[in-house]
Amino acid sequence: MGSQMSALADKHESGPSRRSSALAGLRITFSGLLCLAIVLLVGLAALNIEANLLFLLFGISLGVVILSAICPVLMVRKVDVERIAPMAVVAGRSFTLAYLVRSRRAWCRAWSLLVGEIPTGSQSARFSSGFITALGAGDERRLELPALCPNRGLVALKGVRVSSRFPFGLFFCSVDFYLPGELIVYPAVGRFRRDPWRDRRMPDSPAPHQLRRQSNDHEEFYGVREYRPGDNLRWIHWRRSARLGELIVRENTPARTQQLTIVLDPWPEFESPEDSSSGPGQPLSGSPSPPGRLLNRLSASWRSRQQRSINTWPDDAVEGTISLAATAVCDALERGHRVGLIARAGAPVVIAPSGGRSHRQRLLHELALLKPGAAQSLDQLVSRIRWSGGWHGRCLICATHHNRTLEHVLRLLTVRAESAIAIIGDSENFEKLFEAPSGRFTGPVAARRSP
Amino acid sequence: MSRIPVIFVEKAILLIAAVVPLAQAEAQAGGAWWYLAGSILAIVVGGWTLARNREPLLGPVLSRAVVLGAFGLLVYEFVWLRSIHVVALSHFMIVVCASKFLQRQTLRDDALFAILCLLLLVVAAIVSGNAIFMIVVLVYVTIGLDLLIRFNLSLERTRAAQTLPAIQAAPAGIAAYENSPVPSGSVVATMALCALLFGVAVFTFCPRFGAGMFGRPELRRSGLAVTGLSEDFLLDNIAPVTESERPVMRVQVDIDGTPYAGEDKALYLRGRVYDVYAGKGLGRQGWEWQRFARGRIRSYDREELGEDEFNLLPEYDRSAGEGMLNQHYTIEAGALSDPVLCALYPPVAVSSISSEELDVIDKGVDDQCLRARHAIRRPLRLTIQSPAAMTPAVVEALQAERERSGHRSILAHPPEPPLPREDEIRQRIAPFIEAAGPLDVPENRIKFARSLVEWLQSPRFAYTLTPPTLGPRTEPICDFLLRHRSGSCQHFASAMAVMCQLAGVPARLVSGYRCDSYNETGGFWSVRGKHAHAWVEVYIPGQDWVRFDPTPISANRQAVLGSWLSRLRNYGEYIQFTWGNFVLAYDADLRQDLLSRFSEWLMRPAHNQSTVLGIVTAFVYELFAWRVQMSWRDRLLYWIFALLIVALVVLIGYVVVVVTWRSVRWLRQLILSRRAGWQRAGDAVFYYRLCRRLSALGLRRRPDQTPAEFAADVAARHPALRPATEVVSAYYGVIYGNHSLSPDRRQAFEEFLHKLNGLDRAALETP
Repeated sequence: MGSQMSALADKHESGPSRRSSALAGLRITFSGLLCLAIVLLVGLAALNIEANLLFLLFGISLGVVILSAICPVLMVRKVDVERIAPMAVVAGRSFTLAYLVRSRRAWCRAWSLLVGEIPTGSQSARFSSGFITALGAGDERRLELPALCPNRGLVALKGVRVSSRFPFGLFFCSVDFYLPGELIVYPAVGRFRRDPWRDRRMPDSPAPHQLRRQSNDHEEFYGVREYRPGDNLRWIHWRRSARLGELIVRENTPARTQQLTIVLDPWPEFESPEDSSSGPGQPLSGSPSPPGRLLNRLSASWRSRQQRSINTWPDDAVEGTISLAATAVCDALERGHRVGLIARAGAPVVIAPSGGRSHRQRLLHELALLKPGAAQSLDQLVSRIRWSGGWHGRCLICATHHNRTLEHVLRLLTVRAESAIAIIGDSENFEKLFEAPSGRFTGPVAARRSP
Repeated sequence: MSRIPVIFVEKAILLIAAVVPLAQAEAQAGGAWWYLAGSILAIVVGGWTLARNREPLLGPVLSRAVVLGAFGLLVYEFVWLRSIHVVALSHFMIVVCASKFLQRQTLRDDALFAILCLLLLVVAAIVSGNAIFMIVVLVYVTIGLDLLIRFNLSLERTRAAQTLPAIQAAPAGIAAYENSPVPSGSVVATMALCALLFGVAVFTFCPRFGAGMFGRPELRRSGLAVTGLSEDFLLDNIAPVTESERPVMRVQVDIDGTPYAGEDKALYLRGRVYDVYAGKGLGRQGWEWQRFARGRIRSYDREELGEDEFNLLPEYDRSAGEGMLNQHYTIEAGALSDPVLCALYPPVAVSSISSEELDVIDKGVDDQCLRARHAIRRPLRLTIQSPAAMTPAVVEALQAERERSGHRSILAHPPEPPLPREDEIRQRIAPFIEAAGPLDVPENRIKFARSLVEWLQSPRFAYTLTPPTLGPRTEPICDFLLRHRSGSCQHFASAMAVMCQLAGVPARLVSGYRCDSYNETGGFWSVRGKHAHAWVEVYIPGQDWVRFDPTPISANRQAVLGSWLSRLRNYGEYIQFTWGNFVLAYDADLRQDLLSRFSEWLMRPAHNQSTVLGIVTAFVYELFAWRVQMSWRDRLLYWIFALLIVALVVLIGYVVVVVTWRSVRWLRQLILSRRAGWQRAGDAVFYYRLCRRLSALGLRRRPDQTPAEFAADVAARHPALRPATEVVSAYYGVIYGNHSLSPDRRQAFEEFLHKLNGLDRAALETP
């Protein structure tokens, strides 16, 4: 895991690959079908009226069609491709995929090569295609193509497809290079419109005089470095960036190192009206009689259906919450704080607070791979965590909507940690506090509160 | 000022190349050249706007208006003008293509332009018979292919650009073509050569099944026309004669292999004969020439004769004569509208008819007709033999043939009813009769006829292509001889024939072609519409019908040979003649002939060999030993042929080896995978047996259950069936994991299944 994490920032190149047969990838296009139909009609007309010139025309046209079928196969033969992809990208931000296209031919060019990713059929990524007009014998060409992953997660790369429609576009031949790979798409990182810890309306915000003291010696300038994907755009040093021609960000170091634990619950537990008498996480009471058992069974079935419905809520609400958590991670780490993460998901994530570049990548990596289907409630998860150094610092609870479990956790953390605040996706504070990247995740989700 | 892009120039060349043969084919109509002129104008204007960076002349609205206008023109030509459909369609396509030069150039317009140009080429192939089509084909396989390659490269670039997220695709303008490399000329030339060779191979070896596989139009009148003159020779309403340059046919004439130069450098191809000049009578006005023996026509069916040729003079022994005039005709398809067969008189045999459609010949007393049931769309080839000289044997054979057809006596048939001013005409010819002497003597008849010819060719008579307009009751010959004294060849010939008949000399009017256009380059006579002619035949006892041409010599235009323009024209005609003979009139017979001649040429070095190996050995030996005397050109051709054969053999061998090797590999993989599949299927049979047995026990898998869930459910309810889970697990391994069952497991499963066979429902329910 550690070695994998250390390699996250680097790009990875694909090694030797399996490729499909050029002949198997030969297909006729719509233009080719149309042309073939016209040619056959001409042939039939020639046979019918016995016009010798039509026979000649038919023969030439047929020769052209056959040439169109042979040339694409010849073009894609002896062509190799290598993909250079970043290990991780940020959702909603375009990135560059590089392809090295190499010709192993000895004596003639390859024309009209279209290079792109093999479609996976999912909407998780959008890739562009590159066009090489002519690739000389023994030449190598590097194509850098923009791509975009709109959603976080793991994007499987199947391979690279090289196709050609040379010379007339009547047939196309494609060769698939099976270069399996993965792209980890970090959640989109926005920015805080204001410091959430200074918000007076926050129930657990520090007192104003404490905030003033904190704001004076909160952090100090440390240095500048190059921009990395995921950095907060607020920290870009525009003047220096304009001078150097590339994005430069300020690095600050806090005067006093803080510890921040982010508690994330993107898919909150469903709480039915029957749960009003019992606390969260407690089993329902039921009589042992058959009607009671049947009632319990039906209720559990209904509840699980409702939970499944929650787990498949519109992405905007969930992604907005996760993006908020990612923004908090990046923001806090940039300030030099130590950040930990507790996330309720299919595979719960518990990461002790730490700092540094590799820790940041680890946190973003885990946020990228969060999936629904948690077996335990948030309070059960939180209550079982025992930090070795205890709960210090602040806690930031990010959730999609408010429920009693959240309240319970907030109370719990307020007692254990230095302070705790909650930012709920369906609250009005959400938009006032958090600016989503590029207008994503806009609007409260009040209408989607009740399943 | 910007440069005009290459693709614009290529499109312009393609359009002009497509329009020229269409215009040439429609030359008679005259309207086709307007389309060519309009296209050129559109190209020039479009090029000028491009060069000056100005806005195109036609915006989107105007472009649509032009297309609608062209469609309206199409409807007009279909409905009102009743033009030939493909010709009208070609006009529509030309207008649309020309309008593309005046609009903004986009990829979609270029694609449409390419399709329309291809269709124009198809139309040109249908209607054009000119050798210029060969140049059009060369232009299309070179420039057309280059245009398509450029277009496709630009389209692919645009398609790739459209995949860039959040990036607008650049409009497909001219710049999209110019900034990218394109295949060199050698690549295009190689493709063009391959396409051309393939086309020639298909053209040469494609079977010809006969026209009309899907139905064909019937001829309104049956027959084969070679004259262009009407069937009924009317003199009273002769329209001005037009000198048409339209080719009718080309004739190669030889006497046993020696080219024939004609009589007085002219070739008289005789068509119809007319015996009687008669008024229409019965209230109808006008005078016309009629055939006396119109009713005596016999039909010969080729199939009944069982021979490849029609023998028109069975009584004549061709081998005993003084040589035969072999006439090889190539008749243009457009000339086939009137049922007369023209030939040098007298035609003895008709053979080598290229079209199987012509299988009946109608023979009159002195003229014959080849009949076709359906329209013949391509040039026709046939060979006619005539005696080189009118020997007594020929005369006797002709007489015997007439007697056989019931035409025993040859008489003079004076006009019926008598001409209005017949007495005056008799007075005019009386001195000639008196000077000639008794006209029953052959020499006197010849003298009399020649005197008439001299008289008609004297300056007192004038040749004109625009005879005077006559009243409805005016008799043309009297008017010609006694009043106006000007007319065309029909007047001169009619007048002489009538005068002979009035003198009691059997004479008749003959219509056909008098061709004086001999092409020395190709050794053939080029007969055109303007060569249609009329002359007179006078019956001379012992010499049969003798030709006399009373039309003044100045009207018989002599071809001016020797100037460079004439030589150029002759060369062009020779190319056209070769094109017509070997391309337009190509058929299975010609292919057979070419192949046999080619094999004769090829087999020259190995003429003594009879086995394939011997032939190949002799041929290869000849390449190096040079035993056979042959020209350097032949030897070079042998070498080229040998190299082509070697290349072809290597190519075919390579393809065969690759295909065989890949097929064997694929087959081997298929067999191996099938075997593995069969093995696995064999291993999985135990699962199906388990299912059947459980089903018999009342335990069936629900549709929503997987085999594993079913097995778990069954095992939970019936402890005796616990091994079922293992069975299903093994089944999964076999089917999805490509595993094989070990003998121990197979044995265990067999035991379990055997035990199951002994169970029943009651035993299952027992705890």
